Amino acid sequence: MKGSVFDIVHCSLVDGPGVRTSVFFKGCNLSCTWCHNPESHSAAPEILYYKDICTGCGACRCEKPVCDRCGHCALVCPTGAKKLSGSTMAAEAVLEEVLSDKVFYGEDGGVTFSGGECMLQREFLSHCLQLCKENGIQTAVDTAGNVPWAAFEAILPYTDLFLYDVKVMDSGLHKRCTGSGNAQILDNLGKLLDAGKRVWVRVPVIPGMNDNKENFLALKSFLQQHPAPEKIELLPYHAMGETKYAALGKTCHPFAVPEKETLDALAAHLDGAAVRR
Amino acid sequence: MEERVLQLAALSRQQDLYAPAVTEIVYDPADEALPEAEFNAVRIIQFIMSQPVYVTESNRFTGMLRLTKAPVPADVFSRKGHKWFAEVRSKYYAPNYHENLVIFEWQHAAPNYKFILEHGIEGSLAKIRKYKEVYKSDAQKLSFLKGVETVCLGLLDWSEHCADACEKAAEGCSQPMRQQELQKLAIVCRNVPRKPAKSFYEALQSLIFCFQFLPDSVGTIDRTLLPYYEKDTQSGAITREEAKHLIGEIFIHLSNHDPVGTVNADRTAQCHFAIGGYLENGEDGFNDLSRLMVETLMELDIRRPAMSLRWTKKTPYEVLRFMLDCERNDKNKRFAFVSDEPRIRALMNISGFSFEDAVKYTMVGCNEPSFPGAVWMGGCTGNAVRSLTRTLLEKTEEIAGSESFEDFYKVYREELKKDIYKLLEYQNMFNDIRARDINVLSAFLLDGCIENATAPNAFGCEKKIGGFNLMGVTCVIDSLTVIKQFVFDEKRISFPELIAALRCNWEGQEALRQEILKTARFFGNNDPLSNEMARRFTTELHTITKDIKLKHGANILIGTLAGYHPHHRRYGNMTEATPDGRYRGDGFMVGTGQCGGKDRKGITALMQSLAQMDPTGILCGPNVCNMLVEPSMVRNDGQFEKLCRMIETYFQLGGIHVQLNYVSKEELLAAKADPEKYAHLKVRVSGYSASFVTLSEPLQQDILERTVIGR
Repeated sequence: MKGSVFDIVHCSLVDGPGVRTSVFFKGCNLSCTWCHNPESHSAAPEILYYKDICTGCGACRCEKPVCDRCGHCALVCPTGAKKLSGSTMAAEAVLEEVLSDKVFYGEDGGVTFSGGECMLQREFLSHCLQLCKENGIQTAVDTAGNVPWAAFEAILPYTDLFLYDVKVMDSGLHKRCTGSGNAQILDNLGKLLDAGKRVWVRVPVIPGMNDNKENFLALKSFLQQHPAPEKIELLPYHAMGETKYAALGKTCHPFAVPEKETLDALAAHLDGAAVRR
Repeated sequence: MEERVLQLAALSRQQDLYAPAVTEIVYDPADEALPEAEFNAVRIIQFIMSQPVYVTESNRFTGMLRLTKAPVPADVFSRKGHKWFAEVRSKYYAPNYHENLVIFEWQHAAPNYKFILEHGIEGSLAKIRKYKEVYKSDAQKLSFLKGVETVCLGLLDWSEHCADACEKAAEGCSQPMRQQELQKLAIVCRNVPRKPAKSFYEALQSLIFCFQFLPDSVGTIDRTLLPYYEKDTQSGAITREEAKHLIGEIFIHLSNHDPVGTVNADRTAQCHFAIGGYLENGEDGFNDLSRLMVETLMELDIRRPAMSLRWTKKTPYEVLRFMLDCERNDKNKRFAFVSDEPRIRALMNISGFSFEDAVKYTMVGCNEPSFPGAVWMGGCTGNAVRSLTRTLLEKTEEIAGSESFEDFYKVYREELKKDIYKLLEYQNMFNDIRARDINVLSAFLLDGCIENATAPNAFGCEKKIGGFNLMGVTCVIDSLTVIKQFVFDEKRISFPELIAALRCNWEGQEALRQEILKTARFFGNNDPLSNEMARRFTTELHTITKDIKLKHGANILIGTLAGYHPHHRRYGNMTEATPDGRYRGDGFMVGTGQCGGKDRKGITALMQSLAQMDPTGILCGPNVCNMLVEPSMVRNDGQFEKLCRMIETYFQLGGIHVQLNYVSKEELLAAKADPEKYAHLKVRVSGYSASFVTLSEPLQQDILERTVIGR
């Protein structure tokens, strides 16, 4: 079984506990204005073009009438101005990459499937998770949760930990920021917590969008109705994805990087239960 | 830390702690009639006795001096005045890269302080008397021993002279506490180094008296000094805190040996030693004194000494974490990490030592293994890539018809062998020439020199350890990998096409070059192909060298460090294009890490490739692995914990060395642009650390190009 993957990061220290291998699935059903991985939105392979470092050497010249995203132009580009994002991988190949780091996982490390929205490739994800579990790897799924509960049910037995993004509590604002309301997202989160699954709630902190007291009090209020998540992480907005928008010919909506004081204050609204990464 | 120690450290950052050397000395012309060894000894002792004694308002140690202004050959490693050393150096040191294959290099050593502390100089003199009898009919050896005897007696005169000076200062001192200190110091100087040290304080004073006779590594002093430290702290003679102040003062003097403003003031390799590691009983040797020395160093803003933790499978995780934590907080970058596991095996299997002897090793210089009482008989740095480019470009017809990688490899192997043999010829020649000098000064601190009545530079040491460094090891591994992958396995290109691309320095072949850079199964990605190629190459080095000894008797260990000169870049500048996509003239990388983004899979893959690359242990010489990591990996506490675990795993897998750099590329560029503002920015270079802004441009560029790992 094969799926669309746009990156595998070995030795990720920020996608869950311990040392992890993060597998980034391509394709997402949200379009968050602050997303730092715009190449993850489409499930199909894409060519990124960084025109600032292009020397116009012509090495990438292509005779094909329509780009089939074969990636040859990126392969021969001498400056890295062209990059191919996305490839089709077999679950076994993913497993091989994950196993190559096994010796470093220790007690709490393992694999994290992320995206994009990894749960959109439900069967592929499920297969990858199963293979990892069969090989003694601890598994985490990083999701925004905007999928039917059935998708969760399919992977529950093979998932040790969910990294669950909660972006905005107000559903209307959520729709304006991400293109979708949050009813299904919160419903799934509640079910996961109620089911006793290990969950880390992760909140991207986006100045002007969700960095206000009301949003965080609403989150607190929601979480109080369920068993507590194992951890709440605040993920401050960063600008590292901005150049990729231009490279994809997309428009970037930059935000300010939140101040430490802001993050501390927001964490305080959650009674200090949140940690800032 | 005690205020006066901190003040001394601050002073040492501003000026030389010692008064200028007295050089206007009237020597007895009759000395000229003496044989060389005796002449050197007599003159140097007269020079020493003419120097001012270091007595200040607060010193607890005395007797320090520097012999660089002495009138005759001084210590082995400052090389002041050694005629033949100067000769070979002038012909074969940078920028004279001979045949693009070999260059002369320095050697480092560590004294056997244990013997001096346990037996005193009287013990050395007894040995000398014994061997004078043994060699009584050998005029040359007898003369050498007389010279060494003169040095030892001179040292005793000097210590008495220092005691006198302290007594005199005490007499004129109006503060009772200080007066007592000076009186105590005088008593100490009357006992050591003449006799065995009776206390921790005496042991340190004895050490610093001897240090100037071999100012280099101080060896495994966390073991040597431990009995004195334990005895005194257990009896209540001193507290742990007081011991720290004493160690601090000694460290400042070790550092001040190359004072501020001198050419090597900034280099940690001038005094580098190891702590921890296996003991003779097979247990891990990191002890409370090891920890105290690290804590002491952390409280002092001085450039040296540098320390390497010898990690063992029995090193508690807490110790490794403690050391890494110090490392990340050390702005002077004085800590590195080596593993005993591969090195002890290599010292036994290749160098022929017993386990009990092997565990006594220490680090000297940048990152050379040696023993207390022995010299690392290195002394040359070679180009590993030359034989490969010669095979490709000069044996083209022979290899063009290769039907398999093995056909090609057979031809290459012969060229590699020829180069290694040639390199060894040079190394022996370098060492033969410097053996013509007679060093009498350090002999009493190095095991075997008295017994053999032979100078250390003339191979007098008992323990034989040595080898050479190779530049471009990763380039060779990657190039062989590309040949196998592209030409033979995947048949993406024919051999003549690849060779043609190399001949024209990739001109018109940029697409091919890019394909190689982006899809070759380079070393550092934990790829079975390049991992196997690395093992094959290092095993080949072992096969070629295993039955050869260096002329002085050591079996060969190989390393990858460059020293203070950027040999890796200079060799690269003279070397043709290589199959790994490197252009003609581009520098090689130093050490065995990776660079230029060729390691695409991050630090865990790199660590695994490194840990498996050397099954025979041949690279257990001065091997270095610089890892540049994102600053967040050390600055963020959560990520740092994970990094510590990764490094522990790396060593468990068989890695031999790691030193971390985590200055961001932006900061390095800013430092390049504004050197004044970043004068204090220290980086690990090649087994040593230095101020980034004082490095030569090629070395700065080198550090900028190393791969940054992290996310």
